[in-house]
Amino acid sequence: MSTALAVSGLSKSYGGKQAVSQLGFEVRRGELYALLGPNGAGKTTTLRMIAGLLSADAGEISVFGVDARTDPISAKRLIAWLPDEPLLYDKLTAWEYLEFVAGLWGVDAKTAAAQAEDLLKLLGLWDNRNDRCESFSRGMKQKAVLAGALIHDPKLLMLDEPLTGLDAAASRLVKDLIRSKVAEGAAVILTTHILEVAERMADRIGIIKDGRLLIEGKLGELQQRAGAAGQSLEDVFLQLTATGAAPPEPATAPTTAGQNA
Amino acid sequence: MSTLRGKPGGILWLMGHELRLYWRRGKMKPRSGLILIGFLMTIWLLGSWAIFHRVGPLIPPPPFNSGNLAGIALTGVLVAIAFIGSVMISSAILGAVEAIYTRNDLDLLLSSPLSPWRVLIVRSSAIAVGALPLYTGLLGPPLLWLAIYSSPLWLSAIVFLFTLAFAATGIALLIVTGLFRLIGPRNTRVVAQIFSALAGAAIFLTFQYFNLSGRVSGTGPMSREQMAGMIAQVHIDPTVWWLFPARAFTGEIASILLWVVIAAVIFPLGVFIFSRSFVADAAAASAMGRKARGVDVRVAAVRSGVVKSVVRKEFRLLLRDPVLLSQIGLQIVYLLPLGFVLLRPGGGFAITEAAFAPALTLLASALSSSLIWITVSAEDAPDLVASAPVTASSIDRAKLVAAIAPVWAVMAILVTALLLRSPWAGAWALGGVLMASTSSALIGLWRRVPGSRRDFVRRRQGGSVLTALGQTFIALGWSATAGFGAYGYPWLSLIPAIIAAAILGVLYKAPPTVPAAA
Repeated sequence: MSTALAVSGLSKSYGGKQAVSQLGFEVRRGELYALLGPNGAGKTTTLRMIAGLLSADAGEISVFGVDARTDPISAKRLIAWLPDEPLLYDKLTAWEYLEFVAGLWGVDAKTAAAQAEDLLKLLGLWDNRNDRCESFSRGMKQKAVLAGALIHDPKLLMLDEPLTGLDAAASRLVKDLIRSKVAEGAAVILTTHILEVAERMADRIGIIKDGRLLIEGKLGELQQRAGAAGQSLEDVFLQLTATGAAPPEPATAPTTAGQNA
Repeated sequence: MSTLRGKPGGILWLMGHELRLYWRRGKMKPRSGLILIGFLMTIWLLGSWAIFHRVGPLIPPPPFNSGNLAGIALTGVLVAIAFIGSVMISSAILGAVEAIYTRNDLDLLLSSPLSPWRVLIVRSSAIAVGALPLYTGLLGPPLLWLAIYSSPLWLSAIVFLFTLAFAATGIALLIVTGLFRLIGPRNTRVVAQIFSALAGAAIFLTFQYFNLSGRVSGTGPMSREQMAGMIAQVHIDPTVWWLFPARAFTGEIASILLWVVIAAVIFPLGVFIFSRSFVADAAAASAMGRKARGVDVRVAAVRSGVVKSVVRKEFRLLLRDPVLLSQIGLQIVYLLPLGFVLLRPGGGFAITEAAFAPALTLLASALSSSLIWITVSAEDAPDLVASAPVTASSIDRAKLVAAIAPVWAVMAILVTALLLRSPWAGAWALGGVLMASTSSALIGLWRRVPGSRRDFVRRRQGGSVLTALGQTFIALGWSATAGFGAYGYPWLSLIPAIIAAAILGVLYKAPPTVPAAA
């Protein structure tokens, strides 16, 4: 698998407080990478820097070989960003919202219409396409924003808490959609506080705290390095974030595969 | 632990909570706000003293119970009260609507073991108290000097204003509750907000009607002599019953007592009726939007292109927000009569058409300033727009088009009409409109302050005082440029034009390269 996203030495501080410090990780094509961490660990800041919403103080971001810091426009063409809080235009209909997003990403009208129809049908919003977003429930808004993120067929999907506010059926639908994008070769970074989701879905997991990467690897590798073989990701996560120290590197290359659902 | 006075959960304690929230609602730090208000009040106190220590002794002490002039003066006071009252009702309606639909912390307060009646009476009182600082700040110092230099009875006006705020809030609560009953939750919000906007303008428009009616009837405006003659002919009995609010304002004890009794009845009545149905109304409001509707099977055509997408989106959002539209429409309503006033024949103007040039320039500047704020600062999804693969400048250009195009469209009609009547004045108006609308839009772009559309409706757009002052001077500068030019002084028009351009240059600030900061 070739590299979709390469981040190295990424740093960001707000008024003297170091939000992200010398962060480095890679995500490959066709891989789902879960970026985990306690509140305030720097997850959202990291994703916002990759999406070009925040300028980094230092470090490099490469998206499919494009330097996102020197050529953000080209990088943005490949990226979709789904924020944790779905921001929609209340007075636009779902259809108009998708038309607007497609326009921003330069998707031609015919492709945009076809994509919008497919996505709205897939996400169960087709019958609501002409309803204004102000009448949507939180779950419907989340699905509309997800449709907007997917309308330009991104190669790198960054999903910040994508399952928040979704009911069981919608949650399953979104998870299936994420898996299908991964199967098509897209790279996905996911942040979530629902560790079971990361445990079941992620190919690799990175845990950050205080803006530093504590550990990354497949679930088995994390368990091994944390000395918590057979324990759940939640146990590993709590153990690592409680100390805040990176566990020692393994003596031999790990071979354990992640438990993908 | 608590910094609030009074027993926790008590009316005083709750009122302290409300006032603390009110004080902190602005973007300015409380300490800076206090310093600014103190500074402005000191200037106003000194300024009003300079006027009233001379004028005050000349004003006959109230009460005004006899004489023709007293009747006319009281009528003037009554009109001023009607204006202030209508603006107070207007803002109280907004407060009541916000309480029902937005609720904010009301869910928390009402889920506590406090009496809902107590919570709502305090919230309603806060709406009333919120209307007071502006009027007490504006009228307080002159009334204080009048009390010193004319008669202490003028202080009753302060009592009157205080009770007027509560009476206006009571009326507003009754209006909102009545609308809810009559037209349901979906329409109440829109109608109440538009009603609120119009209530504030009603008295102003009534005046303009009388101002213009003379012109329409062909009699033209009155001269000073005619005015004096008319005043001499008009007989208004100062003791007539309908002047009692004005008499209360000017210190007649019986009238002020009657007024206080009326306010003491209207306010609790409004709160009682409002609170009785509040829980049901708020539940109906929060459930509105979830009504099952038939499936709309239409599939709209999709059109592409960044600029077109942004412009189309902005137009759609604007046209679908009747409250925002009514607020913008009000600017036209307020400013258009200015043009008519300037155009009145006999006002010393040789070319009446010329007066349109500065008026239209001011109007274009105000409209452009509002629209650029809505499109740039009040962007609902800045992260989405910022993460798009387009340069921040291309988004800004599209937003500039979205803000200026409607202004130019409206102005094109008026300027064309003026060009046909007076090509010279029309050409200056055209130049003024182009420069003023573009300047205002550029300042909005350079000096963006994140906000929401609701901030616009609540007239809380934020931004620095210096920027606002600069924007005002630029608008006045272009207006003066167009005015001097239209009246035949093109060389003189260079002075305000240079000043406006210089201020514009000072206000220039490079837009952020990462537009999420917008």
